[in-house]
Amino acid sequence: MPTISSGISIALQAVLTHSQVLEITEHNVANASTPGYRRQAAILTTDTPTSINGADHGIGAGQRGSGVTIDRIQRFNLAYFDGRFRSVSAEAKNWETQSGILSQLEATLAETSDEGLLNKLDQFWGTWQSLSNDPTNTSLRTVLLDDANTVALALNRRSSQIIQLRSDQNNAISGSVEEINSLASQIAQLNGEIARVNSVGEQPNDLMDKRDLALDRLAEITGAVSSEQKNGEVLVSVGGHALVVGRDTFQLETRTSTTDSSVLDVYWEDNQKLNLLSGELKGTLEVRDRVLVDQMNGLNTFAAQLASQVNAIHRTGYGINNATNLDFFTGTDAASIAVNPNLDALSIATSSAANQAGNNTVALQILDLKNFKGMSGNTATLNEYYNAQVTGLAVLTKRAADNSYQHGLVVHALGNQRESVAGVSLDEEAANMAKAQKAYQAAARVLTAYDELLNVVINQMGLVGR
Amino acid sequence: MRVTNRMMAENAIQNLADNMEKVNNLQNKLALNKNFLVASDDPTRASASMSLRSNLKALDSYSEAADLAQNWMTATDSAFDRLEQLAVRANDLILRGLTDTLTGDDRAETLGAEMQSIAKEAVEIGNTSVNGQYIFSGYQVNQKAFSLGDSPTTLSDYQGNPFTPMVVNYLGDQGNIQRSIGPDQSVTLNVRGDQAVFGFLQNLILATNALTQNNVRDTGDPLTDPLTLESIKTSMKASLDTLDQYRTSNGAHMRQVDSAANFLESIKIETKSLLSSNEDINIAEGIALLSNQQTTYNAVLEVSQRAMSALSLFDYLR
Repeated sequence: MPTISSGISIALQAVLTHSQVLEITEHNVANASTPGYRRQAAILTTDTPTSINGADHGIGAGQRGSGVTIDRIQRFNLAYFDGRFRSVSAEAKNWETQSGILSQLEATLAETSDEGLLNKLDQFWGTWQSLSNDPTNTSLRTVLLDDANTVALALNRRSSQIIQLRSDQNNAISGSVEEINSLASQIAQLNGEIARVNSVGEQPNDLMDKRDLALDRLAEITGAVSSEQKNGEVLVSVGGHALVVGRDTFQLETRTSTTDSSVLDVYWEDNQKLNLLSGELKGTLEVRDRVLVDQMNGLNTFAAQLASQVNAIHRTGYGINNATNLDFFTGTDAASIAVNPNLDALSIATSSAANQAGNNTVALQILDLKNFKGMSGNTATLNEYYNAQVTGLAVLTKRAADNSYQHGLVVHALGNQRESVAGVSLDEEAANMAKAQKAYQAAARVLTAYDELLNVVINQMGLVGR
Repeated sequence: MRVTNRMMAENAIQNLADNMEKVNNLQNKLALNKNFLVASDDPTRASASMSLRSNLKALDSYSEAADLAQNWMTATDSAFDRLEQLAVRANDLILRGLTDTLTGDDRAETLGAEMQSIAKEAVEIGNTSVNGQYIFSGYQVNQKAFSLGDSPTTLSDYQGNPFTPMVVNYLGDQGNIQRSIGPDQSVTLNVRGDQAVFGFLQNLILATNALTQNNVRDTGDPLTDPLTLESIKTSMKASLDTLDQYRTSNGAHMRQVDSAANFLESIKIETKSLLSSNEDINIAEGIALLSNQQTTYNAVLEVSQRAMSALSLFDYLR
């Protein structure tokens, strides 16, 4: 049977509910630009109705509604978008990192400018040519030593720059490992809290936002994938190895590489080596262990061949002081190549026999090396080999930049899709606010009506005959 | 699609950044007048540029070699020219010496003395140097090609007095210097003094001796006849032919170097224009692109400003 007090209770419930809806709208508006925030909405539902037996009381039939209540606070999120977004952003970050390191290398090598190695090598050949024109010219000989030194130093510099660039990545790697470990701990802790909140039937919306933000970042670094369990916890794995299970984490650590003591490798605490498929860290390791190593090997082959080809001919010749059987270059790779310290200007061999000052046969033979196809299985000259090396690097750099740009576009598009579902639209919130406000006002008016009813009952009833 | 305020702002920022980057790229390319700034901007063109630049450098070296070879050969040719002038005069003197009306005194004091000075001058010419290098010495470029000295044996002149004849020696060697004036193209630079000049110098000395000795006509004695003025006239003719032959061959080498140098020049021009079309930006096109991009950028700015400052429903509710 309806009572005034149950009517007041319905009205009060409505006032409280709509004020909470307003609060949720306020929360949305306040977090309109908070990273990782998913908009929330109150799902309103009717409260449990009470049964009345209409026939008994003669006032109609059916169940009587008992007002409005908030069923739950919905968090707008699509797990599917999260998974797609993370896998693409991991790939984008992988290429972005590669592109960054490679552009750095390209800029320091500056092969297309006057500082390029090829320029210096051409200068070296050019001076040999001049010397072949004028083998008795001592100043040309000094210039040649100088040019040869420039080539050797350019090779040394490139070698040390690549080594430097490789060890520079150590900072990036240990930084990433620290960040992964801290994100993993954060996720494990949030897992605990989320499971607890879920278990009491509440919605840990803001905690899930925080966890998703951490998962986004973790995916950017490592390409980590996650799956949600029934109790709300997520399982995170990186390259097939578990990183977070419930409230536990597996930590990563950096160790000095077994093959190269100047660089760091990443291992799990159970001694397995970290195996990555995408992400920033993958990009860093990929460039360091593959591209830079290839460049280094190419540079070493180039230096070794330059030295051995020139030396082989130079040893057969005679200097103007009849010195013979001298190496022109010493060293066997890009780091160690240098002009033979025992070679002075007069000892540079130009002649094929002793005591023949004008004999330039050996100088011409060395000059011919410029056109000698002794590289890449006798298909390329030294110049062509290095040209191919530079072009190869340029193609890799361009590919990394292109891929980074294209994946970036996809990340942007997927981000927009996700934002489309989860983002806060201020217009929408304004409308919701107006709706809640009106409902609140209406409920408050109902309360006033009941107030007047009570006034009638209490102050005006039973005054007959007074 | 549901569009949120944040999405609008982020898209606007992204569009601005993209356009800014394009404007920046065009600006850099125009400022440096290059189609690419680093190799990865355009690996194919960059690779082509590097080899073209290499070629250009090599062509410069070859041109330089050809120039130097031309200097050397011109000096050789002018040495031959002077030698031939001397040869004409020497021939004159020999012919006059063969005139029967001359006395031994005429031959020795007038003709012989002049012939001796011609021989000395010819040796001087044989020792011509270019850039401090003796051109007739083979590989021994630091060494004079010929030395003129006194013979250890004396002869007697037309009056029966003894005199010391001159003797010439070749101090060079048999080296043929090669010059590289193009890929797989080389040319012999020098003319060897022992082959081209030595015979002529010796004949000049023999002629001097014959004039001094007044040894004019062949007598039929095979031992002394080769030293008479009459037979020297014949051998002088032969050595003049030799001079001529080597001068011609030097001339042929000069023409070879000349045509190589011309070829190198034309290839150089071609390579330079290839290099330029490969890496230099088309300025008119670049500026048109830039101004187009700037217009776009202005439009993006305008649109972004409107999108971001657009009124929201909050402004209308009361």
